[in-house]
Amino acid sequence: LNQLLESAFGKHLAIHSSKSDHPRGLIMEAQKHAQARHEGKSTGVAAPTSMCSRRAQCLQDWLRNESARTEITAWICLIMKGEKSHLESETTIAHLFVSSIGTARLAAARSWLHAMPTDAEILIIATHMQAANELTRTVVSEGGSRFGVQRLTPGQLASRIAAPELARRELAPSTSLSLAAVVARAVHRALEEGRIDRFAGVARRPGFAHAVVQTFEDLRAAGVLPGRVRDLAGSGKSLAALQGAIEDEMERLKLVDRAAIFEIAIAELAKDNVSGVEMPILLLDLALEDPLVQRLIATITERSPRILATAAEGDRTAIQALSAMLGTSGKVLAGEDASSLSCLQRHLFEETAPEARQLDDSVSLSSWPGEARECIEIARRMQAEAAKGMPFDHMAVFLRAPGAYRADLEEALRRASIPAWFAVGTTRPDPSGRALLALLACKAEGLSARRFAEYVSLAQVPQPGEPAEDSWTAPQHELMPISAEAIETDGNDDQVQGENPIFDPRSATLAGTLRAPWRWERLLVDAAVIGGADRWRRRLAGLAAELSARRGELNDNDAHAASLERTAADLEHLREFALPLVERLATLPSEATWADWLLHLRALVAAAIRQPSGVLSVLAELEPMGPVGPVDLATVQHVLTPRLRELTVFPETRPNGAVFVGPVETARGLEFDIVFVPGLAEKLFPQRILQDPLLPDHARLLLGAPGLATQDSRVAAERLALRLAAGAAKQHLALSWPRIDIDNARPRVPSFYALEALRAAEGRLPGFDEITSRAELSASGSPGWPAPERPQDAIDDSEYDLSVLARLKDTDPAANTGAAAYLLSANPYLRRALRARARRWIRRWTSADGLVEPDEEALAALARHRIGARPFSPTSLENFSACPYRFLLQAIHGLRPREEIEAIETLDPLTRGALIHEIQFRVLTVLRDHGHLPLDPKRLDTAFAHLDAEVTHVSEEYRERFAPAILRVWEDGIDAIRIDMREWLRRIAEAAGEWIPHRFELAFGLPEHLRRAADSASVTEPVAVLDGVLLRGSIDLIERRADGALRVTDNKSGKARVEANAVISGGQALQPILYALAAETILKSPVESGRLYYCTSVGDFTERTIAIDTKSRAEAKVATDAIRHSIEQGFLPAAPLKDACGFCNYRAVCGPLEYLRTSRKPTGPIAELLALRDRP
Amino acid sequence: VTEKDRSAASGAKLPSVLSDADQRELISSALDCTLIVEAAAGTGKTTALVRRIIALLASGRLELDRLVSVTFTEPAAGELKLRLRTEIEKGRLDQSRPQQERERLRAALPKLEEARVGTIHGFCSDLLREYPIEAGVDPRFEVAPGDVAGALFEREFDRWFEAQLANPDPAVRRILRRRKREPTFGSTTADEGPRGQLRSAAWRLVDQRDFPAKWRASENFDRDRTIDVLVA
Repeated sequence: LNQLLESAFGKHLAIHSSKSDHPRGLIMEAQKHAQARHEGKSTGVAAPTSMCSRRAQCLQDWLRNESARTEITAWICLIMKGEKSHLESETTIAHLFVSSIGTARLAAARSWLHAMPTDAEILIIATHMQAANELTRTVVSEGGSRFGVQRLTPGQLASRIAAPELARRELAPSTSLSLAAVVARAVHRALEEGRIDRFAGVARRPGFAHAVVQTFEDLRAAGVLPGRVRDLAGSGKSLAALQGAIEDEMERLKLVDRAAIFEIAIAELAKDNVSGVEMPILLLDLALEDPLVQRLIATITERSPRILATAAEGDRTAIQALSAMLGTSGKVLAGEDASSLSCLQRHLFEETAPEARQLDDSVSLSSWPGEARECIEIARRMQAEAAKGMPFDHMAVFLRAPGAYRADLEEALRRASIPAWFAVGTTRPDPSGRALLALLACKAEGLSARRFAEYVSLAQVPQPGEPAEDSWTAPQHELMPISAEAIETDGNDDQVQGENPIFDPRSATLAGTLRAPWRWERLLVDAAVIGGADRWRRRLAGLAAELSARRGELNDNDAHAASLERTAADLEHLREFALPLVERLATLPSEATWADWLLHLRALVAAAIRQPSGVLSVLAELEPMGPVGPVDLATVQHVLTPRLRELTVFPETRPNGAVFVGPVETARGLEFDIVFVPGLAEKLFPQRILQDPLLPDHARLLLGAPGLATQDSRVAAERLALRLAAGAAKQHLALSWPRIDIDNARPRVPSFYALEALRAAEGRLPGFDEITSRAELSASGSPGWPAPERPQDAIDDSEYDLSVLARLKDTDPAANTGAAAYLLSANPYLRRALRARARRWIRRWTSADGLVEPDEEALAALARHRIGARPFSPTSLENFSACPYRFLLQAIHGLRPREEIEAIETLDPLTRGALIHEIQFRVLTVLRDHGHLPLDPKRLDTAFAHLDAEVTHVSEEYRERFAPAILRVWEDGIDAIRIDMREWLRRIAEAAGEWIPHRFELAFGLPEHLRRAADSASVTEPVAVLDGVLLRGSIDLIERRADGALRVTDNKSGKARVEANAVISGGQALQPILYALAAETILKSPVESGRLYYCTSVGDFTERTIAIDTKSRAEAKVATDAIRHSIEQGFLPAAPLKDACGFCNYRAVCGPLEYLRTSRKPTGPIAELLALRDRP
Repeated sequence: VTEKDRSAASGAKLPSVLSDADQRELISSALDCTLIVEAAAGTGKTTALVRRIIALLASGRLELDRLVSVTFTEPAAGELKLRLRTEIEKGRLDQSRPQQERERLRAALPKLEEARVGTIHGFCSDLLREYPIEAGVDPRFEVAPGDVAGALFEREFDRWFEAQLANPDPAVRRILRRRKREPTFGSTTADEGPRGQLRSAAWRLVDQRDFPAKWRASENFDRDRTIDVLVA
């Protein structure tokens, strides 16, 4: 060690520090002395050249850590080289430091920066800002504050240098987005002029313009002019025409693309028009595939006095370019084969390999069932490392396929309570982009309600009453000469403004979501043939009327009434918000210049998008397109869709203590103790390597322009990505792949990159079977039971529970008594659920079966519902026989089923039934008032005329009120009703000799406001029948025979369900008898029979007539007594008839297995119910 | 079960040369002719295929970016690629091979990503992505996953159906006249109704559509004769 230090610093340097025993401090002090010596200053320190034994021990301990050894070696190499060069030359000092180990490269960079005075102006150029920022932060934390460190990406550098010249020439920079708009227009023109025949078949497809943008940018970056492209066989002529058209268009619009900005910047530098760039430059792991970047860097480094460039081994393009521009072959730190990690970093994708060896702890390779599980396991490993003292911000995840992993990783880290920071490329999607696209699609599809619903679902509805935000936001693009800090501030504002922590149940919005009725868009029905703002108004008004009508049928105490009121309020919110927005959409132009479009779009965004800055910054990129036009809505959509669909939230500055998550490209210039690289599976990493569709490789090779990407360079970039990710690891590299593609339910296999990694780390290439079995052995788990083997390894509570239960389920229950008892104390809801579940399946009736063994309080509440204490409708009493619990939920609790949206091809059955009843009532009333009853078959035509008039009158009234979605459906439904009613009337005429309609809609026990149409003999009080059974309801029809006998009829518009000889049908058909008994009481006249009349073609005009005699009265009493006893005992369990659950509205409450489950229970307590079901 | 186990179980000694060894040898050596290999599962077709590819590479007849190897499943394709990588490594380090052959195998390594070893669907998808102009498809097309395709279908069907309801064709009107049977207790199959029937028919049409047009633009291309020549 002493030899090493002495060889580095010679005898000039004294190491004498009382400030720190930490080797890093010692080395830094050594550097300061070296710097001071170069500058001719005295260190003022005596020169003991050996170190005290305690410090030496400390340093040796530190050097056992491999990454530290690498770091110190790099520092020393740099210092040695720097000193030597400095002595040799007083002019430019340029170094190129190459290593496969990120730590070594960064150590070199830090050392170089530390050697600079703290107020020296220095320019750090990095491929992404995160690397430059992290490096600066580390240097400042190690060596104290610095001033004058500028950090830029090549794009930002070019943009800033070119900005004055752009302004002088009145040129505006264009991004890929505005370029796409230019290309779309150029394509359109070229097509019309017949200049791109080759592309005519696909040129109008939405993806074509974006494919052209890619190829155009490649050609421009490589400096290929249209003249050279024209000579290519095949597409050359058309492509050159397109390239020329785009360039002409840009010139006309005074737009400059990225290539032009770089060219201007290079020219300005060459002309010495740029001041303040003659400063030391650090080129930090710069990507130099782009020839424009190469030329810019070469030009700017020419005027720099001191340069350090770092490059990853394997980045051949960068190394070659830097060597050429700096005039040095560079110092290569090869490293040692000390650990599996260093072997992997050194030999990955190289022909060399280490001696065969076992994998140590520095590299791991695992496979997990699915991407989601892979992310969970990454989070688990992070927790384990953090428990050992590793800070979270010393860990990173590099993703090659961010789209496949981002959401899963975010969820896994959230579950594990691990703070994480997602870099650009892995940030979460910004829904505002898709919200604007949904609104544009709404307009394009004739104001489609579904598209509008899609917009509402994206939680971007602004808070009502909030003023619209300033409708201009700076574009977020590196080519725009606007400071990144300003952009960050703008991006962050959304988060603050968007928060709505106060929950107000009356507010129209909640966290950006509009309160609207469930699946409201289905009620609007956006048939393509019908559209327009007027339709929206009419349909929403119709829906409101329908809700109001339904509410009117219920009394205030009905539970459903409150639900309908809430729905009506939500509908009002929808109307208030949607109608103005729809009208705004309706006024969007069909064609306009981009300037007009931007005006309209900004206004739309201000009115409709809650967090608009992301969208506005995208729109700002189109500003230079203002004079272009006219363009139609489809073009606007084509241009905006790719950008807005992929719009992401701009990341804030990375906080301390957060795990770094980024695309694998961001590994350049970064280092972490632990690096995770998931997704080492086929097609994920490496991704498919494909040629450009418009300019394939053979054409690129013919053009012979350096920098035009081909398959070779694409493969090299893919390999370099893995090398960079591996090189960023200091202590551990965790590679993994998903065994299953969960989305497509297909198995996955590792990519051969996993093989390469193992070969580099172990010195031998494993076979396919070996790699899969090894990875599976190191990582158990199945998708069906997502939990670790050991509960203490769980990342959250749910995993812990699953892990505990997994261990219990296959063992002897007796040996594990109480092992999961903690679940009962986890929370009261789980305790109740677990106990209820256990009770439901034991062989006795328990409170988990429904209303069983109620306490005193419940019995007291139930007393108000006893037979005789309150009226019941016959229909509700019929539910008891099907299932006592159904009766309890419906008749006593008043629980209403959630209303499903009906298919629109038929008239809603509820509306149909209401229409039929009202028509029947009106027709009979009119016939009676005109003296046409009994109906003479000879006067049937007159009756039909009355019928038609009433059908028309009632249906128009309903149509006006409900504004049916599709008129044809409504008219067909009314026609069907008309036909059924004619047949019904004809049959009345046929029977006129015997039975004459006497009373219609005879109501009893219903309050006045609930009786829309009622017979004059109706009573408001409930009617008592049998032994005090109180009834309420409305009898459709009471007929009288010549001898004064009465017949009660209940009209049904559905299918006949009651068997022919039934009396009470096991308690399921009580209406005929109970209505008859009620009619007897009201009219004080005996009723001969009760009848169910299925009075439509659906029911085939079937009749079920039940004689009202001693037997039927006794049967009805059996039924009501059974109900009476059950209520009195407080015993109303779920005990359904076989198959009754299949069509029960309360199936969601009980589940599908109630018949099976309750069949195992004792029959004694339900003996009376079972006996009732056996009655005829 | 290894060969050793089988041998021990049967008590018989395995033959030192397989009965079809000459055919296996032919697969690896007859590199200038087309072969169809038909064999039962587990008999070593993949191994033979990989050996043949290695032989083609070593002989200089093939470069990996000019290879197409398609199979039916992703796992099979992935396994093939991994085996290929392993065998190239073995061949590259095999000192018994001539230097030139080892050099060719070494030169193949950087092109492994370009080898078209995948499923038939994947190969077709790559072709369409690289030649969209010739194929007449959008250059940025995406293959819709099942759930996305289902949702797109539902949206389009609903729009079509609503339009039909407003002004039905005679055939649709006939189907609409058919009443939907109401559900009854004990019924095990739900009646789809007119809407369900039309949707099912439309989905079948989408799922089983066929493209009867010629798959190659050239008028003079004799597909049958070409296939006969290939398999002759």
